[in-house]
Amino acid sequence: MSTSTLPTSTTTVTSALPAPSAASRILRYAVHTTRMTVTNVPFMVFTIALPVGMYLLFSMMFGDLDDGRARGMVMVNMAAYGGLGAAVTAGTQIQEDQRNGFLRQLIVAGLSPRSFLAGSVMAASAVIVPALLAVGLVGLATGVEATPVAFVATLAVLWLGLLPTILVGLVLGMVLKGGAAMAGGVVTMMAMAIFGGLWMPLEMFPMWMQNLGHAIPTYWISGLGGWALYGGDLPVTGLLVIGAWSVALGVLCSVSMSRAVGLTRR
Amino acid sequence: MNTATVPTPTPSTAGARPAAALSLRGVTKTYGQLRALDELDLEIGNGEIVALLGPNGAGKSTAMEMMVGLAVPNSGEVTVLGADPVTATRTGLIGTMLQAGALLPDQSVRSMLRMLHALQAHPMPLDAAVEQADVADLLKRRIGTLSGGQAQRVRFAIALLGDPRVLLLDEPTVGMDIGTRRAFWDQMRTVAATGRTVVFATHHLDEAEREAGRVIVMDRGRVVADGTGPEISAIVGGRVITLRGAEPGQVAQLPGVESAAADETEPARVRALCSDSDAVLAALFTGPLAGSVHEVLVSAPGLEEAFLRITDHSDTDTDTDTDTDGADR
Repeated sequence: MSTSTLPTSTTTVTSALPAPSAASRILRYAVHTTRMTVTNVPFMVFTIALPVGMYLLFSMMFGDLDDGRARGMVMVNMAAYGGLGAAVTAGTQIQEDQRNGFLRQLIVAGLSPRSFLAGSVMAASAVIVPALLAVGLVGLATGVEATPVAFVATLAVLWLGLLPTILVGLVLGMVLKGGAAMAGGVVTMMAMAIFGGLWMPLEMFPMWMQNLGHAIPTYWISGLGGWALYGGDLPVTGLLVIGAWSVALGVLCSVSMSRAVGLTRR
Repeated sequence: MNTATVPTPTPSTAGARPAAALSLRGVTKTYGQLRALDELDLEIGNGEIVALLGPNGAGKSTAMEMMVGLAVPNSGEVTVLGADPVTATRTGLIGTMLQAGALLPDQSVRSMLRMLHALQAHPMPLDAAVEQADVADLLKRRIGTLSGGQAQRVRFAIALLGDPRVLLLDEPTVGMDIGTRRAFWDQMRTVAATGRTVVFATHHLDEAEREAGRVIVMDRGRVVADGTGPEISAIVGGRVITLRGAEPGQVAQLPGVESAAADETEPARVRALCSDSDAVLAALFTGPLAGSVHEVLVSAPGLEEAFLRITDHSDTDTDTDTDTDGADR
């Protein structure tokens, strides 16, 4: 029962056309995901207004301590907090969309699961920049003294240091479902802010909390930000802690990815 | 099955014989106890328009997922235009409309299409896909607010974005009313006329018969019938006659009756499966039973029943062997 359709047009060999490289697909996916996230008004308001508001509050209360350096540290901590919120929320949100099965559409469009993961990290990295910038610029405008180089270096250090918090968001989104992922994100974010000493100095807390805090990346993100802003000894332990968290979470992401995420039918 | 008379292949990189658009050989897939595909063999040539017909759980969706690399067979081989499914997906050879494929509810249609468009290997212009899927009026809508039929049109646009040589549509008209359904097939015919291979899964016998040059009936993970639309509807398109006032044995003797038995839900009625209902009715009312039968009803069998008939009569179909199927469930 041959369907005898052999028009010339069917014989063009399209398979010869080269496909875009994985890297360019990752980039395109990241760009579009970033676009979708930054046009999400509630998300942007939440991730920018809250840390900026808290910066203004805390810097008004404690800003003049330590010859005004406290104001700089409040800026660092609130920028880190804003970035943390954006990273965790974006991570869970991106994962949530994929859990619904949209990842299947992406894969059918040609994106591999690994590329999806890489692109998600890039997009989440991009959407934490506005929060960092907003707190930083408000800080400069309200009396934080920093050379341009120190200011840019501080934001850059914070941005790089936030990598493990992005991965935390992605893992939460993979492991938890729906409302639980969002709630888990908020709880995790607050715990990391408190135990990292972002809201109040860790020294004010009991010893066990301090010990725990020293094992958490947010504490060291703050420490590295302070180092970039005001100098002093490079907190090497911090680099190790952040690096260890990044590696462990990265592995966890890849493993969860290969089995969990929305590849099977809903 | 239809490879004998293909003329000399055009300059192709793939050797002497052009690769089939889709080829599944000995493909088995199990989900736990459930055998979704059971040694499935399927070959679909370039430019064919094929309907995959079958009841729920027949394996249609699983087969389609394999063709785009979303599912991996336990055994057997799947190729798309000679390439493995993952490569075919990455290079844009194959596009698919997933059944109930998830969309991004908070985004506008345009925003989501732009993202998926950007990922394609060699996409058709976005405007062309929008026009061919007839979604221009939906572009600014938030996806979460679309009706079922509108969402299906958006999924059709997604399938077209990559300008694929092979187009898979998994139950494309689910959620559409009659008018939308007709409009959809009008669009589809335009798309198919460009020489693409189109494979669609459906529950609707009429759609399969009208739109496809070839109809493949699947049941329990196997092909149970394969032919042109008229051939298939001749098999599944029989009639059921139910009546009162005669014994099943008497009815079974009539010309055009395949089998007759007491109706399960209403034992006083006789239920007869007919290959030629006109002949049965003629015999019924001109023969000795004419005086006693009453309440004669003629109806089309449900599709599920039709599939059961095919499976039960599969000994007449050379490439099926359903003896073991029953044990799998």
